[in-house]
Amino acid sequence: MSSQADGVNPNRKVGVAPAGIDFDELAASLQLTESVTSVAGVRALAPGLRDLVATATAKVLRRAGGEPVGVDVTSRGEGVNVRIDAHLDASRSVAAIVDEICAVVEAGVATGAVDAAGAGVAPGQLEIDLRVVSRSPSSVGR
Amino acid sequence: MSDQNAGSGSQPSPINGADPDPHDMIEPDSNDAESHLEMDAQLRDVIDDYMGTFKPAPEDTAGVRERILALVRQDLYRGPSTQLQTETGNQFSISTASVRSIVRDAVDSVDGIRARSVEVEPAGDPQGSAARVRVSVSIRAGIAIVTAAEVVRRAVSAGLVAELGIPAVEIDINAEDVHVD
Repeated sequence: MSSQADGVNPNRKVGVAPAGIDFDELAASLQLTESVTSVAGVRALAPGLRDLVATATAKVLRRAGGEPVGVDVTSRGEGVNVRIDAHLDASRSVAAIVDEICAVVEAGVATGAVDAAGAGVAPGQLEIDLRVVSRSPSSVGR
Repeated sequence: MSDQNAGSGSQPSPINGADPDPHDMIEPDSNDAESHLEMDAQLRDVIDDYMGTFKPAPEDTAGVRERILALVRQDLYRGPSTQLQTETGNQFSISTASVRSIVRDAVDSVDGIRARSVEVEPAGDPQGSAARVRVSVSIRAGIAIVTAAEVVRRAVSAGLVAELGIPAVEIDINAEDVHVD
């Protein structure tokens, strides 16, 4: 498949956001990944489900995969789902980091980080699925 | 006594090119089979979505869906998680091993006490706004159990608030062994 051979993840679609506006999930994922990784206490993000599928497909079919991102933004039903699997450090309490991640995602939606990709997403239509995968005792790179 | 803190179970067997039976891939030691089934259903949805846009060559299609599923499951499996929510109502899940580690460190910080098994369950109203903790410990010979238990409770309570940001509503301590340093 040519798009994957070119290093572009074909498992990204231009969906339709609740407002009926074209929605570039990959662009939104990239933008929110940058915002979330800048939160103090976030050590790293694990790749999302769709990136894991793309990578696994590339392995099975022995082809090059796309660059994985950490935040999965998908439009579904009447809202937008943001899935984040995060590795944290122990510089702050987990709840404090979670609250800031949620604030960053909500602010990104409200100020246009997601909207810039073409999605008209109101905060009430936003569902954040946040999982803390690990919490290391020491801060890395901070 | 078996240490119940490991928690994550064994990993699925590696892929050898054959198409695995999906039922064989469920974690045999997992105590949250329901969440695994839910995850499998979610994974299948994502793969179906992916296969809708990705058209492999006919010679590549034999069993490709199950092979992808097996690989993703291997990458994804990170053990059981605990559902909690912050004081401001933001819900999140955290690996149960991470929560247990916080409790274990708090218990071990008390002189003469060693943590053994640790269980943490979501509690409070709304559910997940607090935690219920059960911990079994070994106590050094000569230490007064009642006094030590109160110190352990304070340490665990403080540790959960400081590290997790979630209060404990109940901390049950089971002294199940005595040790000599």
